[in-house]
Amino acid sequence: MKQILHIFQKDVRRLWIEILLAVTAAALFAWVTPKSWLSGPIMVRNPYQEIASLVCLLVLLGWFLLIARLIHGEVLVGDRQFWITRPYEWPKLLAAKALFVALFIYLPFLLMEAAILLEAGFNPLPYIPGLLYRLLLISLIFSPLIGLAAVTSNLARMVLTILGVFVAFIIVASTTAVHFQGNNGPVKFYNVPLGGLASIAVVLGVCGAVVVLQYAQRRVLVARLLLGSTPFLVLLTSWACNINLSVDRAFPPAAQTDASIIRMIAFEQDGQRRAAAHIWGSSGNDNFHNIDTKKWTLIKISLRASGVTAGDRWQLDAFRPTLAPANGAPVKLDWQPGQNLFDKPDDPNTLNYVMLAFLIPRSEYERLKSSPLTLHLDFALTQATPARTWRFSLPKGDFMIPDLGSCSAVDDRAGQVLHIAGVFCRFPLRMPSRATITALQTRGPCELAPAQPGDPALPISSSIGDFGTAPASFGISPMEQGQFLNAPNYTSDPKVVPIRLCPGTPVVVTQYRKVRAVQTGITIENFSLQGQ
Amino acid sequence: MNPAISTENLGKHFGRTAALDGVSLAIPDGAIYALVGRNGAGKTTLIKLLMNILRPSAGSAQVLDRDARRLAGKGFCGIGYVSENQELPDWMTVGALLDFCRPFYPTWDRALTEQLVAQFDLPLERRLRQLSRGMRMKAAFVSALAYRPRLIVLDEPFSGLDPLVRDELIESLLELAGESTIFVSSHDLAEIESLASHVGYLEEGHLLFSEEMSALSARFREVTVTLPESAAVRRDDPAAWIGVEVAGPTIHFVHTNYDGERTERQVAAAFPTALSIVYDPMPLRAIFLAVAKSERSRSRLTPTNARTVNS
Repeated sequence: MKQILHIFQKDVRRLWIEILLAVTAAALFAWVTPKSWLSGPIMVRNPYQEIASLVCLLVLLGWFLLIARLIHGEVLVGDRQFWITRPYEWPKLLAAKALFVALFIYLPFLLMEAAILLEAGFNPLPYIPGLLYRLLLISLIFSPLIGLAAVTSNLARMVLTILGVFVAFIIVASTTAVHFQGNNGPVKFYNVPLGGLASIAVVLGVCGAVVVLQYAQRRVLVARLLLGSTPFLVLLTSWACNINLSVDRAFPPAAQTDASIIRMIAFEQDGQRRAAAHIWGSSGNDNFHNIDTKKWTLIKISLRASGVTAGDRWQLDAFRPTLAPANGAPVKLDWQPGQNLFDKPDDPNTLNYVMLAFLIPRSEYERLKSSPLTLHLDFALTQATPARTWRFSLPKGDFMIPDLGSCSAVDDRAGQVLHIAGVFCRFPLRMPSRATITALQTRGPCELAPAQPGDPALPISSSIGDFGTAPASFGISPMEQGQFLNAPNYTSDPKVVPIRLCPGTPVVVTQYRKVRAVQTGITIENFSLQGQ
Repeated sequence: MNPAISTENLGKHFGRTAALDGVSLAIPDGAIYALVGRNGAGKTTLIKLLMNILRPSAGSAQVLDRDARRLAGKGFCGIGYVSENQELPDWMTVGALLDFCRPFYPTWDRALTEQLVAQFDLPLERRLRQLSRGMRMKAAFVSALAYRPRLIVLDEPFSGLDPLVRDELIESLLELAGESTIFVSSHDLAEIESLASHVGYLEEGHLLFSEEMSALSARFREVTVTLPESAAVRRDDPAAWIGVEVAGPTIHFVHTNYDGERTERQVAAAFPTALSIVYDPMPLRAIFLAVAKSERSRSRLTPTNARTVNS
């Protein structure tokens, strides 16, 4: 222990300026982040947002500098270092470095997060497990940095290596982006963290092995090869824990006896209604902008959901299409992400549509477009039920939804009108378990008649969050932000009476809890690609 | 008593290049061993193998009864290592360097530290990066000698230093001689001649000899044979004769295995008509030059031949 403290003290004496910079940057971030949260008029620029972004960069830079200088204090590359022929015991040297990182990086990070939580109106104590989990996640930044510092001889080489890795990443990403964007989409399966967790374990494991190997034996070449292999190991892990495996594991097939689920989603046979649903559902295809149409073709399919039990809410997390022609090879795609929600409509005459969109290679489209196909769709569904409900009148400005988030109802412009353009919320450590907000809008200026229950007002509703189980998400700030409600109420046409969300309108916020995850599917015969 | 350092067929290859090949030596406890050889002969590589800075490609080494490959941590408490190329923590002052080193060594001698600091006239408040090369080397010496190590390993410690500093360092080393084994590498023969009790000679990664200085001096003789008439070039000289040169009636060579009367009888038998045969003792510098020249010409002729000089 004496040697650990002795080396630690030496590092503190040597790096006090870097420590001061890193801790000051963290304190600055804790101070500026709450000021950057949107609470004023939506159209008015908040200068603190840019400052917060800059300070965030400063925090990252401070950590980078501190880690690089710390590890390079006893350089592990080369054969001329003073310390390698001194009685340093490598586990103690490593422990001294770990103590330094814990005290001057992890602890300030933890305090910074706690301060931001406190400022947002949340007592940090109940969130300690989540905060500790975030320390593990933030290690995804620190571990590769420590690993890289352990295999480089100075700051300049380390920076050059990072730039080299960055350029290589850009090149690889630019050549594979179409595939990722087009075929699988920007996949975000909150319910299937298998590949993600395994990848985290791989990154932490490899970086840890590199650091231990270097401190124990200074095997630079082996350590560099090992560190260089990390991206490939992560890819291999992702492949081994691929999305099909992950979804199949997380969503077991629905029992044959559970006919209500199996028949819940059906193909919309009516062409007119299908066309209408297409228009209605077109906004759900944001994942597929800027498609290279020479290579890919976008397919959209409208499905109707029915038979949902009152109060329940279903989420289509993913779907997997297989297109089989009468003759020739079928096109079988991976699981595609879907974020459709449906429940039992209040109005029995309202139809519930689920819009699916996916890309197939242009060549396959040309091959299949004129043949009648058998389309099989697998669905990964999550059933949820209301867990908590909050009812209140929508205030203007900042307000808390207890145990859920801290929100701001914001105007279009400063001090001009009374109506509310949107509700932005901040949630501690992660987006909340799926929650829905419903409010009533008023036709006309808010000054005249705030909406009341029973008014001929238009309901507006939107959702936020997911059913993930992780206690926290990755990031520097502990508050996740999102637009809970969007109420576009500005029109330039003087003849049109705008529909407005007014302060004082009754609001219902419902948070759901996951009941189960199941897999089901439908088969559509004589499906034509051209008819979609 | 076990030798302080011993190696057995120690070798180090960098790719296809053999920096060191089959080096076997034993350095007795308490010796001042000078490892000499030209630049690039493999001296630093050998020292780095002994200090476990590099890993051997072949063979083994023992340092203070410990496998050199396992030399680490507390194993360095009894070793003081100074190298001309060592990267010191430049941001530290001399005083901070000594204060930092002290807790690592249970045998750190504060009185000796003060004595050496005073002897070297070291400015304790100055940062190492602000010091001249000579002063930095002095600081490194103090940090490596202050705990009275059993083994002092010095890699070209006097290289590029002015004579005054060199003498100061040698003086401090000699004060520790007896209680420590000193292993010093150098390509400057003059600086180690006054210092060493044992000497080893490395040439292109091969250890040509390794023995006590007195034995070395005793077995090398410069022989001058004067004949009545011009001699013919000889092609069948004994292996112990190196650097054979014929100039008219005079033949010069170096006998590498001189042992008094027996050698003189053999030489006389080889030159029965000789008018005179003179045996001159050789200074260390002359011995190394003769060996080096002989090795060079031998390697030019037969680069793969065995290279050990007969002894």
